[in-house]
Amino acid sequence: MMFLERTFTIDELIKRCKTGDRKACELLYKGFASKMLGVCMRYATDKMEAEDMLQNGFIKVFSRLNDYRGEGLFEGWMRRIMIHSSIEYYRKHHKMLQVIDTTELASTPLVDASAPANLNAADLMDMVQQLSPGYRMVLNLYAIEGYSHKEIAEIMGISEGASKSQLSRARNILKQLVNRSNGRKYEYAG
Amino acid sequence: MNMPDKELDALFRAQLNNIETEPSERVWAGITSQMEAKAMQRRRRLRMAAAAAIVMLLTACLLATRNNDTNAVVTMKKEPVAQTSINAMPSAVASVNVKPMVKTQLAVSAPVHDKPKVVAAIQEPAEMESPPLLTVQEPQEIMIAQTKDIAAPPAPDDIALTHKIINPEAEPFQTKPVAIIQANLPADNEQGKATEKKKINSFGGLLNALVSKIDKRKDKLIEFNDADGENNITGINLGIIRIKKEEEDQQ
Repeated sequence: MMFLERTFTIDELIKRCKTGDRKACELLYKGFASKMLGVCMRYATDKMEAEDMLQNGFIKVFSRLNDYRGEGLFEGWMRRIMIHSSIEYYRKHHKMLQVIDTTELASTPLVDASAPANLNAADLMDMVQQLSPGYRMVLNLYAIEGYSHKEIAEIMGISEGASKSQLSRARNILKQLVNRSNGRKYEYAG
Repeated sequence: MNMPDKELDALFRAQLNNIETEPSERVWAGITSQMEAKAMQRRRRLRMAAAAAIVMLLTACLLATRNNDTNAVVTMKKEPVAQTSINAMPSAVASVNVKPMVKTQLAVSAPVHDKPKVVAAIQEPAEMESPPLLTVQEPQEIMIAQTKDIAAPPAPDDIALTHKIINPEAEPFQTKPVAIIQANLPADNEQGKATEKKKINSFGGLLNALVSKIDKRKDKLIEFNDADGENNITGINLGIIRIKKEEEDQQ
């Protein structure tokens, strides 16, 4: 049995997708789905929600392919669509803020975070997903995507002050979570 | 000791910026189904827009050519009626409708061998400008055919208007003009019924029906072939320019 394989460049796939080639769309999806789901995971509470964001994002990508003019990386363009899709999802569902009891966190012994490298990506993702949606959005946009507070205020429809205060609270919660996690690790190690 | 903000940001950025997670199969299935639905919606919108554009175009063309076409249609309808005379056969009942110009009814209420009573009633609409289309020798008078075996004239009660006696030898009846009317009218009606009964099977059929409501001419402004689900244009009649595609089975 012989398998015929052909590799396509991203530009070729994009051209074929524009003509409505379903197979090319599938190849493009498979090429970027795992990376884009990683982006959506940071904005979601769990994987199910992240997959919904991913689905909406890819539908937008396919319907707006004509808008991509080849300026900059295609991945960056797609990533921006995923971020906006995630924010739109958050706005649409407008979840109640999941307020974390900071007094409970404060009661845990604070350990010197001298070994943050002990925390892997899954641990950190879990921490981010524990944040309330508003805090999570602002932290992602500012700390990871690199948006300014002005841009975040425009994207999320809030004031710059609100963006700053939400980021500050998100950081405080994460610091406590990191410290507690490090403490546990030390306890397990001891 | 607490971690500085920048260090915290750098930690999360380094670990989460390029994280990859494999999605489940349901995501692609959802994408394809939503894309199909969107494509169908887009196609439906395009069809609606095309139909609206065609209808608007047809309306504009009709409005532009309406005056000339209306005159032509009226002339065509007048011709067969104008050749008809009221020298009707006794015992025959004829009804001639010329819409919207004139409504003429002619009723004869006597058998051949009885006392002939020919009553003609001509109804003219008040707003009508042109004279009735029927060729009546004396429109305001009732013509009574008197045969040899009838001596007495009809009673005045039977006649609504003025009357005069006609000598059949001097003014013989023309041969069955009413029969011609009766032969023509049902044929038109049957044709009309056949058109109404014709089912609309396709988009072309729908447009044909729309056009036929507006354009009453034999060769419509635009005609589509709705057979076998095809929607090709088979004829265009813009008054001056007429294009008609002959059907293959007729050749």
